[in-house]
Amino acid sequence: MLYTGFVMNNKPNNPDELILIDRQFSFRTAWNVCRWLLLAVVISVLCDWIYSKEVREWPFGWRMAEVLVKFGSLLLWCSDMAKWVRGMDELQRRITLSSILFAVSANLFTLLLWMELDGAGFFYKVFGRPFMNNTWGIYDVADIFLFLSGFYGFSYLFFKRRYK
Amino acid sequence: MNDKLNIPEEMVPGKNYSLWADIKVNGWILASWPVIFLGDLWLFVHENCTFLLRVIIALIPLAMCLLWIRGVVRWIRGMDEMHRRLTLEACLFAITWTFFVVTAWQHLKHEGILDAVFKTSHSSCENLVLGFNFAGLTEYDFCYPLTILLLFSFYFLGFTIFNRRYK
Repeated sequence: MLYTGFVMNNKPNNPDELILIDRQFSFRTAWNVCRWLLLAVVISVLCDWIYSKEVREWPFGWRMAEVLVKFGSLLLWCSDMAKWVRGMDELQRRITLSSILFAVSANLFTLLLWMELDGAGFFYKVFGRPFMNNTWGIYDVADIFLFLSGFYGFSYLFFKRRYK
Repeated sequence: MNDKLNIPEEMVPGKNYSLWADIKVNGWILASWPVIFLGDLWLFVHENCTFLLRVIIALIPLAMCLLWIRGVVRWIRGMDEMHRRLTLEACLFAITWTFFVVTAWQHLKHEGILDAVFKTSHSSCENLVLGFNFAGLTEYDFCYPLTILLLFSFYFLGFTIFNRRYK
């Protein structure tokens, strides 16, 4: 009865089901929790990486709609994540919350650091002209996803070891 | 940080607010603001300063931010279980929303949507937004002090919400 309100099935959710390198990884859980993130990443890869030049020539309304769909999907993903975390037992919830807090903080810090270095012309000076999108910025959802998943995976393994 | 447990209300304006605790926890972030202002002023006056100096000026506030995070972690570790949980949830709420807003803002800037919004119809908005960046290095950037301000605002909002829920 304790978990009835929030779980996606009858047993408590297990954070290992989202770790790609773990043997308990479950595609079904990953799809249930991260489908909106996947949509945002696919749109971002298509519009920001592959067809960025074409997208820049779209009318203002279309570009605005594309951005709103991407970030709206991210909000829905946050809601799914919150539901998933609420469906865990106390210990797993604590580990996952710590990992998410670490991952988002590290990502925000990295973003700020990157912005400052980009503003100071660091990347242009060291690496030359950008090879993609005419910028060294990491402002696309796909870029953010790569950093966030890396930080989350690292912090989850770290906190899991500590609680063991 | 001392013999008694830390309480989150020490940081929130109200009857339990403690200036001393606030300075101990948030001292580095408070100190980073004049450093940013002086750095921007210096870059504004010395437009041809060296690349290395420009990078160092950009990195000093972020190093202070790391020290601030260390102070906040120590402060949270000094709380009881209930307050720690409340504060962690408020921090997660604040950081997630700040991250979302900053990313969305940078993305809109990169897509040229902010240019379209501020440069075509509302000239007063343009001046307002440009005014945020003192040195004028990059237009419309969601710079570090604004991010910290946003973080604090979301923290207070999150703390109020979660505090009410636990009551």
